[in-house]
Amino acid sequence: MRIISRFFVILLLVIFISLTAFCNEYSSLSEDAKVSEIELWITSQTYDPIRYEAGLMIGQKWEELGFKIKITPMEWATMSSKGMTGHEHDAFVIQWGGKAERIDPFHWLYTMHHSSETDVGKYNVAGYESSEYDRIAEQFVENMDMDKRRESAYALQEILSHDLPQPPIAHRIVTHAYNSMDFENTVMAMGEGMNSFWNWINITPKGDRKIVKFGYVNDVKLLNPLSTKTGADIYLLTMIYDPLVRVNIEGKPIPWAAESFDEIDDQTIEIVLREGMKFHDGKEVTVEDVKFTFDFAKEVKAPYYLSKINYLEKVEIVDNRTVRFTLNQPFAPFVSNALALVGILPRHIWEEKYQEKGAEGILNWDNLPPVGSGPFKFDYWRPNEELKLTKFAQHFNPAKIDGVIRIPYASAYGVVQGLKGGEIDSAGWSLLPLQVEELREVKHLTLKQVDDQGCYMLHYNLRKAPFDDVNVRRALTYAIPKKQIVDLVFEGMAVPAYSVVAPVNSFWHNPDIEKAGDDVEKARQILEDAGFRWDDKGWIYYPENYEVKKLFTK
Amino acid sequence: MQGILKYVIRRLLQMLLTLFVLITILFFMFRVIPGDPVSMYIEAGLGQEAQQVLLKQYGLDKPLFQQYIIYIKAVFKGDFGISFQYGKPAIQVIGERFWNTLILMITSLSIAFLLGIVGGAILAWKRGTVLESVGIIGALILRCAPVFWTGMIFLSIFAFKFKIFPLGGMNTPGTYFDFQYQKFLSLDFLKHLTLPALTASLYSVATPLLVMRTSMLEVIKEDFIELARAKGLKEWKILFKHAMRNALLPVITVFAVQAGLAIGGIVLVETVFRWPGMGREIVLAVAARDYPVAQTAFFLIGTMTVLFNIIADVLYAYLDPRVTWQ
Repeated sequence: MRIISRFFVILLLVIFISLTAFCNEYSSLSEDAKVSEIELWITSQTYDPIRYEAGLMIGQKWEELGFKIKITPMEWATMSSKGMTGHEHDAFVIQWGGKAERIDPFHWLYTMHHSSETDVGKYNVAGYESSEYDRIAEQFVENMDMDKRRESAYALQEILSHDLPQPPIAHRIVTHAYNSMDFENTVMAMGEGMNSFWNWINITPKGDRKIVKFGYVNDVKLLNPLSTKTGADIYLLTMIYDPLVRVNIEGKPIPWAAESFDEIDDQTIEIVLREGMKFHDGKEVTVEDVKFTFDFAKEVKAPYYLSKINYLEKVEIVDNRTVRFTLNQPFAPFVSNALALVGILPRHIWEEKYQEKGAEGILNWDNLPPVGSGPFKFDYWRPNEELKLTKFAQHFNPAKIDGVIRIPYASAYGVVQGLKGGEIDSAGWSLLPLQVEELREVKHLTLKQVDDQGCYMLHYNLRKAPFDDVNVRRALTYAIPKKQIVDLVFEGMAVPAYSVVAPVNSFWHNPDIEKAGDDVEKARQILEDAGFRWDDKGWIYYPENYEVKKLFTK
Repeated sequence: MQGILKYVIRRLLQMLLTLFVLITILFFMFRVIPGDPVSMYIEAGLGQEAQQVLLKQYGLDKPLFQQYIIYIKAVFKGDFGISFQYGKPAIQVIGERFWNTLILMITSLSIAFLLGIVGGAILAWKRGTVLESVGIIGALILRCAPVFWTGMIFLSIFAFKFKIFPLGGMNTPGTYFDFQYQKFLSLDFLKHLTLPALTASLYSVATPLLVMRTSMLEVIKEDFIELARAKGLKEWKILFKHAMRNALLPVITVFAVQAGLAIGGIVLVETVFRWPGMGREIVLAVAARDYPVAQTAFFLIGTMTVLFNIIADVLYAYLDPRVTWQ
C-alpha cells in the first residue's frame, strides 16, 4: 500500500512540475509577441503565370519558417494602385522592365532606394531609409567620373544585399522569335530584345519582302511623345522621333541627332547638332527645334519627360549648331537618361497646336500623323487592326527595310499563332517556356535570347511589421527558393537575381555581394540567432522585449 | 395607329429615365472600385509629379460629387469625355470599333436565326425521330462548348491545317484603303469574316432553334393545321407557309433581346480571331480604368438593350393582332 501511494505522490509531483514548466513556456509566448500575418499579393494566373506560381512557392517556404502567410491574387490595376501608389502592401512582386534608360543604374540604385523617394507614388516602394545609403547614392549621382561612380554603385549594391528592402528574385531570359527565312541581322538588346531601336535599324531583308510584320499584344494607345504612358507606345515613338543621343546595346550613350556632345563640367553639357537633318514633312531640323522641345516639355509639364528633365535649369542656343544645357545640380546620368530619351519635336507643328489647344489640350492631342526626324515615317493607323511605318529615305542612317507593319493581338496566344502561321515575321513579346517549345519546331522561325536587364522584384513594406525588422527580412529572403523558381516556373529561362543591377549589365553589376536565397536552414539560423521563438504548433514569435532592428550592421 | 404612338412615346420616356439611372450607377461604380488609371504606368516610368499632372488632366483630383456634376452636364451636351488611354473623345474610340463589331454581330445573328428558325421548324415537324434528337443535342453541344474553344478548333482545322481561311483579323495585313468603308467591301474581308461569324452564330443557334421548336409544337396542334392537311396541301407548304409564320412571333422577341445582349458575348470571338471590335475594347478599358471609354461603352450597350426591347414589344404587338395597346 505504501509503495503504491508513494508512487502516486511522485507521479503527481511529476505532473505538477511539468505542468508548471509547460505553463511557463506558454506564458512567455504571449499573443502580443506573435509575429503578424503577412499578406503576399500575387497576380492572377492569366495575367502573369510566373508571378502567380513563384508567389505560391515563396509563400510555402515562408510558412515553413513559421510565418503565417495569406496569399491574395489581385488584379493588376488594383495591386499597382494599392501597392505602388498607396503603399498599403505587405509584400508583392513587380516585374521591372529593362529599358535602355535603366542601363545606367540611376533608377535601380537612386530612385528606388533613396529616402527622398518614399512618398506616395514614388519609386522607393518599400520605404527604405538609410542615411549611409543616401550619402553614397548622392555621390553616385553627382560624380562625373565613371570609375568613381562605379565604386559607389558597387558599395550601394553591397548595402542592399545586406539590408534587403526589396530583394530581386530573378532576371528572365528574354526570348524572341523571328522569321529567319525572310530576314536577318536582328539585334537582341539587353532588356528590350527585338523591341529595341537597334533591331529596327539593323534588320535586313533576305528576299523580296522588305516590310517586316511585327506582332505585339494590344495596340498602341497615344502617339503623343509628351504624354504617352505605355511602354509599347514609347518603343514606336523612338523609331519616329530622333533624340540627340542614343544608348547603344553596350549601354554607352552615342551621339545621334547630335554630331557630338561634350560634358563641359558637372552641370553643363553642350551638343553640336548634325547638319542636313529633315523632319518627315521636309522642313529642316534646327537648334530652335531642340531648344523648343525641352522648353516646351517643361512649360506644359509633359508627364513622360517630366522626371527626366527635372534637373534641367535652362537650354541656350550658342550658335546655329550648338546648344548648351545647364543643370541646376550635378546629375551624371543626364546624357543617357534625358538627352537619350527626349525626341526632337518639330517646333512649327507643336507651337501652332499649342496656341490652338492650350497646355492641357496639347497633352490630350492625338498627334496624328506624328512628324519626327527619325528613320521611320508614319504611314497609316487603323486602330486595333494595324499600324504602318515606312522608311524615311533622307535619314542620315536609313533603315535597311522598307517599312514595319505593327499588328496587335488580343493575347500572347494570338501572337504565338501569328508567328507560327506566318502572319507576322517577328514579335516583341517575350515567350513563355511552353510557347518556346511550340515555336522551336517551326522551320522558318529562329529564336534568339538575351538576358534581361530588368528583374522580378519582391517589394517588402518597411513601414509595417514584420518587415521593419532586418532579421525578418533577411530570413524571409534567404528562404526564397530562387533556383527552384528558375527551374520550375521559368523552366530554366531565367537567372537567379541577387543584385538589383543585373549581371548582363556588366559594367555596373557587382558580383561580390551577399547572395540571399535558397537556404531555409540559414533563414532559420538568422531568426534563432536573433532570439526568435516558436510555439509547439510551429508559429513564430518575437524574442522577449525585442527591439526592432531596421538596418544591418556587421 | 394612335395607340402605337402613345405607347412608343411612353416607352421612350421610360427609357430616358432608365438611362439616367444607368449613367449614374456606371459613374459611381467605376470610381468606387479599387485601382486608378495612373498607377499601372508607374513601372513604365511615370514619376510622381507626372502622375499628378495626369490625374488633374483626367479631372480626378476633384471631389467625387463635383466630378459627377461636371460629367452629367457634359453628357447632356453630348460630350462623353476624352479617353484616358487614347486621348481621343470616348465616342470616337468606340465609334472606330463599333462598326466592326456591328457587322460581325449582324452577320452571326442573321445566320443563327436563319438556321435556328428553319432548323427549329424542321425539328418540330420531325418530332420523335432520330433527326430531332441529333439536332437538339448538336445545338446544345455548340451552346455549352466555350465559344473561344469552338473558335480555336475552327482555326486549327480551317486556317492552320487546310489554309482555306486566314488566321484572324479583318483584312490581310498591308492592305491600304483610301476610305474606311472600303475595308468592308472586298472578298478578302468576307474571307476574314467567315470563321468568326460561323463561330459566333453556331454558338447562339441553340436559343432561336429551341424557342422556334417549342413554338412550332404548339402551333402544330392547332386546328387550322389539321384543316390544311385535310385540304390536301403538301407537307412542306403547310410547314413553311402556315405553321412557321405563326410560330415565328416568340422568336422575334427573342431576337430583339439577344441582339441587345450580343455585344457582351462577342468579346471572346473578337479575342480569338483578332477582330478589331468594341467588345475587346471594353475589357481593355476596364483593365486600364479608362473611365470615359468604359462608361460610354456600357452606356451604349444599355441603350441598345433597352431600345431593342422596345422594338421587340412594338413589333410583337404590330404583328399579332390579338395583342392590344394599353
